[in-house]
Amino acid sequence: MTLTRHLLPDELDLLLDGETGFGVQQLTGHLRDCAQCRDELAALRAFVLDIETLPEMAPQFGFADRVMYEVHVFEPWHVAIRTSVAGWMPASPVMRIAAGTALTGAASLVTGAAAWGWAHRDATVFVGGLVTERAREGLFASLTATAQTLVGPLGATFGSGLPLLGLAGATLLTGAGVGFLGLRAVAARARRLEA
Amino acid sequence: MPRLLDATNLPDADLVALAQEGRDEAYRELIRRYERPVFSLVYRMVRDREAAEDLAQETFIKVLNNIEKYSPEFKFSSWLFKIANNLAIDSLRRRRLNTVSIDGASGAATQAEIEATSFEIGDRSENALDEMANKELGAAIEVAIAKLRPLYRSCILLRHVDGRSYEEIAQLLDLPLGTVKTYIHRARHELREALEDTR
Repeated sequence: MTLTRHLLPDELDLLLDGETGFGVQQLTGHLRDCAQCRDELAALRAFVLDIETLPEMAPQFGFADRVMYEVHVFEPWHVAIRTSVAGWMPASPVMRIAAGTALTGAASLVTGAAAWGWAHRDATVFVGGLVTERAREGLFASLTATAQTLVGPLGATFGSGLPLLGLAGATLLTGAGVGFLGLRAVAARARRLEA
Repeated sequence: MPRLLDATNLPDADLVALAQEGRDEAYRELIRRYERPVFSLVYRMVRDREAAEDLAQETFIKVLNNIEKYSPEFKFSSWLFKIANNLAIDSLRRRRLNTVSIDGASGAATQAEIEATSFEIGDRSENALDEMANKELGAAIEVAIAKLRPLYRSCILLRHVDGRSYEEIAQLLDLPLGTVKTYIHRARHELREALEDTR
């Protein structure tokens, strides 16, 4: 069935938008027979094209800089670590392979040692205790010697017993604190960029 | 030190991912890519260069400072244009204090709808725009678009200047699809009527 009247504005819009739903076939059928509606649709298309070809406008020069001045560029900690690690990677492929091999070897050794230690727990605990005791004695002796060297007899007086242990503890804590802050600084290389 | 990035050929989603990793070049490329379309949209909405410049800037600052909240299921440009459009509409509402408001759309039932579809005659730039009108078709179209109601203006600009689909516009403006179609059809008719003498 064809239309016996001209197309209404809404019907022309449907055709302009390329709609294919129910009833559109009747409209396109009418369009084939009606020159006036064809002209009307062509005019509508030309009009829309005029809108679509309006020129783009540009903001003033330096727009991006002005925006970036107010934008906080934040580098998450995991990206900072990744970037740092990537920075340590050798540039040449040969060196990369060598580094990879060395790392894999070291990791295998550590894994093997850990597995052996787990399989021989008694021996591990015994050797661990022995090593710790030796290390403690060695540290104690070297701290005493250092104290004597630095502050003479007074150091020797305090260089034994609790004060020295306290000094050693404080040194360890300071070392751990500095290490922690250093690691944190590397890991969270979050930076705020000011343009 | 991250390697230098050639961001110009990357799709928006990749650029956003890089921006979320703190890559300055990705931010700048997103700005470079969209500064003109966003500025054009905002300028055609508010018809004031200085205000448009501020609103476009505010749009980018808002979006880029919240880039980590971007959800990749939506188009980045839709998010950007949504914020730009909302800021422009808010600005027009604020400016209404200095303008004469004409009644809203005939279909507007609530006060909010009337406000959203009412159109304003600006108190400062209209005369200058009128003088410019009829010298050439492009200028006449700009003037006619400026006289549309804000939501009609958003719809027609997003559809025919930015080439967005009806569905996208509906999502962007939080309007039902049918309403968007109606607004665009009405806007086209109003524009054609306004440009009748020019063409």
